[in-house]
Amino acid sequence: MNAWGWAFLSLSWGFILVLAVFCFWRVTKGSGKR
Amino acid sequence: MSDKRPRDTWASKLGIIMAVAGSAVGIGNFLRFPVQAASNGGGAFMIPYFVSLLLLGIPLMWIEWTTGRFGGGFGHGTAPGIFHSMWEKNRFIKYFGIIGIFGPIVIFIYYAYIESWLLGYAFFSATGTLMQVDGQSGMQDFLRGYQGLSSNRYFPGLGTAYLFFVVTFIINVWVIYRGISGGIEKLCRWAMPVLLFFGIVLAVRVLLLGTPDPARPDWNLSNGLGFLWNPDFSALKSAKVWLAAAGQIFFTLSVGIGVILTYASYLKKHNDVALSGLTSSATNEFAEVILGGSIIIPAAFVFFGPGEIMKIAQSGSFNLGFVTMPLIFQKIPLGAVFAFMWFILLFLAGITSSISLAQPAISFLEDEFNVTKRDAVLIFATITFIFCQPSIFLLGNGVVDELDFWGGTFCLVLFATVETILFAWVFGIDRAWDEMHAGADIRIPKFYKYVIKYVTPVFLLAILGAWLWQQGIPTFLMQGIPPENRPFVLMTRLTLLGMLGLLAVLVNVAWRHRKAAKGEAA
Repeated sequence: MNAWGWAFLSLSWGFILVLAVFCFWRVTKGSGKR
Repeated sequence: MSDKRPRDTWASKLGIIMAVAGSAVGIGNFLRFPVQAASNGGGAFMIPYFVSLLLLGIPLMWIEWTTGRFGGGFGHGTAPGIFHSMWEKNRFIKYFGIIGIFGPIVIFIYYAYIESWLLGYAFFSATGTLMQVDGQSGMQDFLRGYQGLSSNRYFPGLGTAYLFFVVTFIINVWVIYRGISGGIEKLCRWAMPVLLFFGIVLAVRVLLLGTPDPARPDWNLSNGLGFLWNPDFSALKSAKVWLAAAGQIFFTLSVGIGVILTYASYLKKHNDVALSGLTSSATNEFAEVILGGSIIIPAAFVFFGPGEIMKIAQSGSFNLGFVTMPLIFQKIPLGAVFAFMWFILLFLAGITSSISLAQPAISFLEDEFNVTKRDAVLIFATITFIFCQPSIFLLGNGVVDELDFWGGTFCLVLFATVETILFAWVFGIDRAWDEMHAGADIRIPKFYKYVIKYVTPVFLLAILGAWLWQQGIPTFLMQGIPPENRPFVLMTRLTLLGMLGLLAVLVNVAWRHRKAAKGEAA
């Protein structure tokens, strides 16, 4: 894999992991709504 | 006059998220995405892919979750009723909604059969049979024999495939019969974690493959990943690539079909849709880009090299999954275990999708005709069992491809366009924005109001236009279909038209009854 490939892989994985972790954290945290 | 039965509800927020994620995560996450990316510019494909995700996929997710919940509040779990509730003054919009029932049924009647192959192959992995099949031609014969396309030393006929189909069909019907929380939610709450776990195990196993053949040092894992991720920037100039990316986002997120509308209709008004919709999208992308992108392409590369992969991929994405992967598992320690995991992973991905395809028809009968769950499931099972038969027996005659075109391609784009314009322009973006945020656990960034009103509809109309021109018209004219298949394709089209007509009649009848009942009550 070349440098561009690593860049695309890292950015894509990074974006998705951050989004997924954020979402599941918020879901399990609960909304505190009454 | 009897009271309507209370509608089913989801037992938990995680439950519906897993159900929608299950509907989205399908066989395509693992078989279709990697091939699409590798053939459309590699890493560069991720640019139109993410653009489509952010401007098309996620907005459509939010639109469907929101309008589904909205329509459900009026007792409507399918698009005819949901569209009508958004534009009551218009007498015709409910007929557009028919696509939201028609599409899922059409996809179900071939998807269930393909899904059953995965159960069969999982069985053959567990018994060791698959590990004994010799070489590429042997594995291809095995598949063709199983599918009944040729009678050979592996399978004298369709008997085995038919048995696995019946078992799979019964499982689908049973889950649907158990209902939203008792069936679908219960299944997805364990099936999704198992699926993701198997996916992670397989991805890790592949990523640790290194360089299996010392005689070919360039057939290594890094180059295997590079095959998928190294960008060819010239691909960005091609409209075909942008269309392929947008199409992949549609299929992968299960938007434009009507299933998410139905699932969301079982939410209460104060249940969040914003965070939930985003979470199911994120789950799907994890399964697709991170897991799906790390299994078949790198594994096929290190064992078979770059030349072979594209040859295999172009001969059909089934071949990578059913021919190439088993051959790869034969070459690694504990191959039978990994093969079993691979096919169970795909089977779980399939069944969590197929039950979502079945649900709209059930909801339609329950909501609009007050049919009991038991009767609705019986009607659905009987009709679809009959309609599944051509997919099984006429596999080689183009029936499945035809169903996939109308149900899985054309309908998606058209339906998504109609629901977006309805949401942003008829219902009105201000009202829509408030509705999206009712009970929301997150605030959606404000610029999405602009995106949903202007960008998503224009993007969709551009796709619809380009796609109609490039693929729609040639397919409609049966270009590329061999003459011996044309009668079957024509028969399929006539049957589909008949289905549409029947659904239109049912919607008409349901609304007349509703009007009459209102008249009696007055």
